Amino acid sequence: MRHLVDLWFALLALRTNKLRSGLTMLGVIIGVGAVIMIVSLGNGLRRSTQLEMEAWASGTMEIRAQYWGPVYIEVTAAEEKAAIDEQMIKGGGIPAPRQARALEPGDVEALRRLATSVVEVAPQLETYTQAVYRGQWIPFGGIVGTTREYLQVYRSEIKYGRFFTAEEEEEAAPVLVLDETLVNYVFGAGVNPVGEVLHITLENIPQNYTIIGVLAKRRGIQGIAPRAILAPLRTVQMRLYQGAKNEIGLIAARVDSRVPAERRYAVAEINTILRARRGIAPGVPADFWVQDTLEFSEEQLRIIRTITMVLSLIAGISLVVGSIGLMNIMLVGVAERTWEIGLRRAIGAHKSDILLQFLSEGVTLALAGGVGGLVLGLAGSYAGSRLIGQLRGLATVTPDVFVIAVGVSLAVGIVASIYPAWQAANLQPTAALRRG
Amino acid sequence: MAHDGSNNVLVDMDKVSKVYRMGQVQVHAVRGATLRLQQGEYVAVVGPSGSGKSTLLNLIGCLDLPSEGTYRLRGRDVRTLSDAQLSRLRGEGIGFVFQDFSLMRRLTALRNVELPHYYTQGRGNRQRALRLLAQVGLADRAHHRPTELSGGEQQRVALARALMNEPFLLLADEPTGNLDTRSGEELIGLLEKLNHEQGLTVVIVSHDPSISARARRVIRLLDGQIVGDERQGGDTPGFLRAQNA
Repeated sequence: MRHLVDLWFALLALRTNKLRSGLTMLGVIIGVGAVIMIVSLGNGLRRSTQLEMEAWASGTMEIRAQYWGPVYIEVTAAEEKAAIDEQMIKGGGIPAPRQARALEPGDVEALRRLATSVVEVAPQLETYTQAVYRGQWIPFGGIVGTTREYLQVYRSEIKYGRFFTAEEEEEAAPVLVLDETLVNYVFGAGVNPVGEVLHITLENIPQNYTIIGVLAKRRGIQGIAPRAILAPLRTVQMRLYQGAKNEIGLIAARVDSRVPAERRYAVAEINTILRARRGIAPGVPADFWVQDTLEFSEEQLRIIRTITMVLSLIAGISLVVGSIGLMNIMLVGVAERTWEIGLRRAIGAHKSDILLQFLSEGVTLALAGGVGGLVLGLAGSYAGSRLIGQLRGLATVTPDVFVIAVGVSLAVGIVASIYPAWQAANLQPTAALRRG
Repeated sequence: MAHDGSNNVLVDMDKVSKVYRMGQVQVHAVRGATLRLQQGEYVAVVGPSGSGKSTLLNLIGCLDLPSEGTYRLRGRDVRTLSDAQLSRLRGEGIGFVFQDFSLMRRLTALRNVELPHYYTQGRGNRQRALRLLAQVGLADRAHHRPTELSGGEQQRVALARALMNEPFLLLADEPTGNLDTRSGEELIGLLEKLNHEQGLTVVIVSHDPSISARARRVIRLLDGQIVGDERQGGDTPGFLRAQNA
């Protein structure tokens, strides 16, 4: 290994110029650090989103009634669109809004009985009435009316107390089930609020609602838990809407399969069953729509991936700046040390010795910068995951981070110093010895 | 004939020219130099500055190749050698001493002396380097850095470095140019001793008349041409005569 000598000479040269070596390294440190930070924070963000999605939405299809009107013209069938266009050309304005037809208990029943890909369905109706506990508004939105099937649809578990009984649902009992996150927020961590009473005031008459159960917090959720206050469906319909809204706002249907084709089949099946039940003729647009929440979360993950990629690109720019700095310093070094190169050539150094010496200098600087950047990036992503609540404990250090640090800095070192090293190696020994 | 090596011809130049291109201008640094050096000679190359002395020395030392003419070093045409072969030839066969010493600032005298050995053998040779330092009178300075040495001492370190790989040819370019008179004389004394006792072929480029006065052969250059080639005090060293007999 004759060429180990060149590596040794390179290390000696770096030691000679400590400040310069350090500053050059700093450029690479910042570049590699930024890339690592972005990658691991991006991974964390993706995972936290994934966990959140899986915790409350994954596996469910959400079915809503479609409202037709001048504001929401969403045409899916070509014939329908043609009809509207013709109407507008003939005059007489846009077709009158079709009367919205809400989802009905029969729809729920049909899906439960007929849809083979659906495990369980839970009808829901939401109200934005706010509950009060000891004179304080309880934040985070309204009260959701639902049925016992909710537990299976969302794979929720009871932490304290119990869920509604069939009788309570039938009687529209004034009972509530709260989410643990909300309970922790309102009553304090670890407090069992079963038996406590919340007040909901309608038309100046306060009503009392008793808490009968708490749903266990789902793993991974840090932020606002959706559907934090649950009540029996009929309670919401009869008491909170005072019988004015005897309908269903949303049907959540659980589909366990995560295979895209099977999920598409489930959407089609739900559509077919509901169209048949609601008597919608073929070719006529449906008056409801089915959304796969998993697809929705996939979409979000795609967006996060894109954002991470864009940020990585920006971090990559700082890496490019670092490499340019390195190349610049290497070129300056070659220019400054032409006499040294000439001397080495005169006393027997081959071109390859000079090439390897300068290449080793650049690669060593870059690799040292890469290690520094790794430390900086890990520290940065740790700090980031502490500061950004949503990412707590999730900024993941995956092995590829180490590969990135070493691989990227090695590449930077070679790319940035191959040209200066080549220049150094090809200096004429005599030109190199002539000083000034 | 001249290059069959039997009659100890080291350097055999035949109408060698060197042309540099500096931008638009062509500089004829050496024109049609024909020169032969025997093994064991002690030669001074003199001439005003810009007369091509250093270029001639670089050509002899294979730091540069002739633009025209042929140069055989120990019978081999240098233009037929690859860059790697030339590097090996310089490393193993030719020792250089420069006016400005050209020592590595961060290396000790010992390491500086060892340097050529690293390039030819891939490792140092501490024993030989110490012996050479002792030979130039710097045994006690082996672990000093160049900045801690006087000019004369630095140049002697450079001389020890030039001898590290036991060259057959020693080339010195204004070796006393940066030295005071006494240090200069010490150095020249060492060179003469090497020539006398070990038969090392020495070529010195110098302005200094006291050096050329002591050389047995003086080559004069003017405008890149050899205008004089005089032998003085005139004979081959005794040991060579014995060899040739």
